[in-house]
Amino acid sequence: MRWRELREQVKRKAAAALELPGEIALDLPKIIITGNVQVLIENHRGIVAYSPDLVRILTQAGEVAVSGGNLVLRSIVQDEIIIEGDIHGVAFV
Amino acid sequence: MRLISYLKGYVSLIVEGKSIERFINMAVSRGIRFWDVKHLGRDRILLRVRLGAVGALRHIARRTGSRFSVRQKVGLPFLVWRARRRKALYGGALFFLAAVYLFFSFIWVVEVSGTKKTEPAAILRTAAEYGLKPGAPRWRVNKKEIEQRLLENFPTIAWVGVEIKGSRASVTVAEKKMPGEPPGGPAHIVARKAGLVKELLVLEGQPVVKEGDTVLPGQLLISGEIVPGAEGEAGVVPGLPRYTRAKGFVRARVWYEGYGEAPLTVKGERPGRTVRARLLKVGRREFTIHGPKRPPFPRCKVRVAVKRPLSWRNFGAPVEFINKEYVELVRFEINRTRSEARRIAEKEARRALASGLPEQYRLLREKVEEVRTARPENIVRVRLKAEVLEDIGVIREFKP
Repeated sequence: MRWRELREQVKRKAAAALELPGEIALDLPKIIITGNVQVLIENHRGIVAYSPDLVRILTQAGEVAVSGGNLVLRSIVQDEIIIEGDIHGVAFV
Repeated sequence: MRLISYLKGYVSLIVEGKSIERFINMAVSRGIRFWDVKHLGRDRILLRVRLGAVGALRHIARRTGSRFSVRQKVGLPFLVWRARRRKALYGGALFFLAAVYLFFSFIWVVEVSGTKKTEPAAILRTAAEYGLKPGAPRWRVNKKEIEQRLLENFPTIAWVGVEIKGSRASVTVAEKKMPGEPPGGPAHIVARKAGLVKELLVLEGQPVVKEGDTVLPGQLLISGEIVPGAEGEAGVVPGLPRYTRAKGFVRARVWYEGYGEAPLTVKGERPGRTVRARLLKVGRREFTIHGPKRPPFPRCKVRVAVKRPLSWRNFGAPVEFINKEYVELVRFEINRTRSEARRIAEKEARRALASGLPEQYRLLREKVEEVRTARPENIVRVRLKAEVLEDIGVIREFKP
């Protein structure tokens, strides 16, 4: 599962690098929303607040607020956060 | 992924504090990975982290003013650690295995097979003397040596094999075939049955009868008591008798008789045709399902088989299936000619005679005669007389 994601990311990154170096050049976050169950944020700068119905994450483009219910941080590493739960909205604050 | 984290070991931590986010950020920026982060309530979260990161987290917690406690330890390293602590249990298991091994490294049963004349108990005793006995440790038993010792101790044994299987040792013995019966003490040869002595061959002893004598059962034939000079031996003064075991053959003519008879007409009944009927019995009433209701033959034999379905012990529906088999009996009468009847009677007589004959004999003469009665009978009676040459001598031991 993660392997496929990783491979896809690499592909996407390569494609972007060839045409427009979007998030790499500008150091912008890349947010992948899978249905209403998972939000993956790459290139983050740390979490600001965490509660079951709101997770706020700091990025280069400002704060990203993920709202929903029963939010769980499935995984946190240095440049990637996976949030799972009933996602209601993703907003730049 | 899960397997790897299980093998490496991870812990569930409950983190408490005002600035949990700072705690997370600081840890993450140092390369620590958290997963399954859950909010438990105000300023309390549950998270999972690999075992190796706990030490670093302690440092970070101090700096961010939060506390954490380990809630659950998962993974192989903890199992190993726990196993080390429970030394007694594993030691016990090891001890048990050792005990079982030790138990089976002793001999508990010794058995002897193949003996015919030798006492198995004697062999067991000798084997025990050289170390093969119940309770002996297996490694102490020298199979080769015991085999050798048993061969030395029992001259009648030709071969002996000792085999140990588990806690059971089996001693297999092959005995020598000893030549006949060893010569015993002094003995006479006496007559087994009445007869006329025809041939006399004395190998040892003193003949008492001569050829042509008629002897009775139990009569002395060859004496084991030799009295010097009794028969007029030249130059021998009658003196003390010498005792020996008489040996020799005394062949005599012995008569046997057998009787047989056969009637001229034989009457009887034999089974003929068979008819089957099937009945159902409910209560006391019988219903015929198929077949005749009453016996179809004037004379017949009935075979009845009752089947009770739906029965258990003494209870059950009062329903029975009855199978009846009517077997017709047919009268028959066999008329034989006189010569036919005589042949059958002769056969019968021969059979009666054969039951009295010894194992080895020579038939000298045989005579078949019909028994005639004063008034004519409906039966043929035959008497068979046979004259046989056989060894009538039998050894009888005596004490001088």
